[in-house]
Amino acid sequence: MKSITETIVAAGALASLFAGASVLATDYSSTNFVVKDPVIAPGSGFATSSAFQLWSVIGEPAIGISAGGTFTLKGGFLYFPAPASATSTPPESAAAPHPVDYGPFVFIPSRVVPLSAACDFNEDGVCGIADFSILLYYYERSGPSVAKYDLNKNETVDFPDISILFYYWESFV
Amino acid sequence: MKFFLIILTLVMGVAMSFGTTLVEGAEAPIVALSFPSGMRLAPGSEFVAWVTVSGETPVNAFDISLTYTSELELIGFDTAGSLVDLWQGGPRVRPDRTVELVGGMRTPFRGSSGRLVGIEFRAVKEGEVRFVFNQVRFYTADGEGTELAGTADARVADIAIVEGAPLVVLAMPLADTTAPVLDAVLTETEDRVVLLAFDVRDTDSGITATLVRTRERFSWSEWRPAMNPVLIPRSVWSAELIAINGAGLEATQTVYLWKTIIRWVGLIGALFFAARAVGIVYNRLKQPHSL
Repeated sequence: MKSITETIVAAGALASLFAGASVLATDYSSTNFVVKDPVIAPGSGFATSSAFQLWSVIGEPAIGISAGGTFTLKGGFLYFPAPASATSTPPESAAAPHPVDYGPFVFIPSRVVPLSAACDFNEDGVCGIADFSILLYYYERSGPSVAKYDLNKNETVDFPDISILFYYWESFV
Repeated sequence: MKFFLIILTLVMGVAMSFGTTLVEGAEAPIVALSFPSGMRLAPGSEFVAWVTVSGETPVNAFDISLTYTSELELIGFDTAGSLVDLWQGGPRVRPDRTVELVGGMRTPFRGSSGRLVGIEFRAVKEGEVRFVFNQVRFYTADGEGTELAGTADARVADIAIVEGAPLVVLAMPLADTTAPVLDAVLTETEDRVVLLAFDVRDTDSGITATLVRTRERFSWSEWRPAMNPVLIPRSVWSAELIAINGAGLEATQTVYLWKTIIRWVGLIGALFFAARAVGIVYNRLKQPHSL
């Protein structure tokens, strides 16, 4: 009995160590929106409180071009499929700063589209509606002849394959 | 004179042939917006405009966008009787009043007036309503993704929103006693991302909402709109989908991520045995040393 009690106490102590390691991000809302399941993704610089100091780097901004007095930031994976050569040298003249294009910054997003994406059936460089049409053509077919279109490798072209195509959807504007 | 007539004939022939080659989409589908014509409606009235397709070449996918004027407010989409089986992101509207429709059908369509989606509008202010198709692309069901440059019916909407005109509201949908059909399955991509893929359809009253919630520890998250596919984080061990049709009937399905469940069970088991080991060591250290 005593050893069981001690086991439970020890288990509780260990569990508290694991529980303390998790940080929950709760939803936050305003009068006309709710941000669901947010993650901590701070901007650049550092933030402090009485109990912590958090150093951070800039996360992935909104897709498109952001520009300031001396920088241009192109954000979005594959938004710029033909990256220009990066210029890492800052402008020499400090008296008259001008925007310097450091080339496109390719942020690695939470999902990575392989360069030779399996869902790009027509090899036009994007998994899009043409590939969707091709997949629908082979829908519910099985066998080695349609292995190329069977994205989840269950030997049949079915709706999970379409869902995987939608996951890598790039071309919609 | 004779020489002049010959030259004129040649010029006209060249012009006609040139004009002919410029005519595109001889076999291309035609998309149209179908609604009761000649309507005069009071502000507050509601009506449905159906996006339809007609053509002789079998098509199985489309990418269409259209814009409507500010006299109208878009209040919803009606997919009852739609040809479309799978929507990429669902019918949606942007803040600039552009409706975007991207989807496909398992069974290629060829014929006339095939319904893609009904757009429900409400008149908000007086004026003449206008619709413009910005983009019409169809893809043939040939296994090669061949694009057809579709054409849009150029009929100008003859809907007038006028104070004092009849107030029209949408008719109640026909009774639908059949729940939607929902099929959901977990799948994993090549880069080990877990997706919840689902197929939902209701041929009678259409699907009005598909929602998902997930469970990481002991409680469910809030319901949120589900877009196919749903990205499932590794920490989630259960997910539930609910599909609601136009009659309010529901279909639900719950899936379990067994890898995550086994991982949690293993963690709890390891915790238990670690605690037991700590307890044993503690007991032995506590025992008085015998002389």
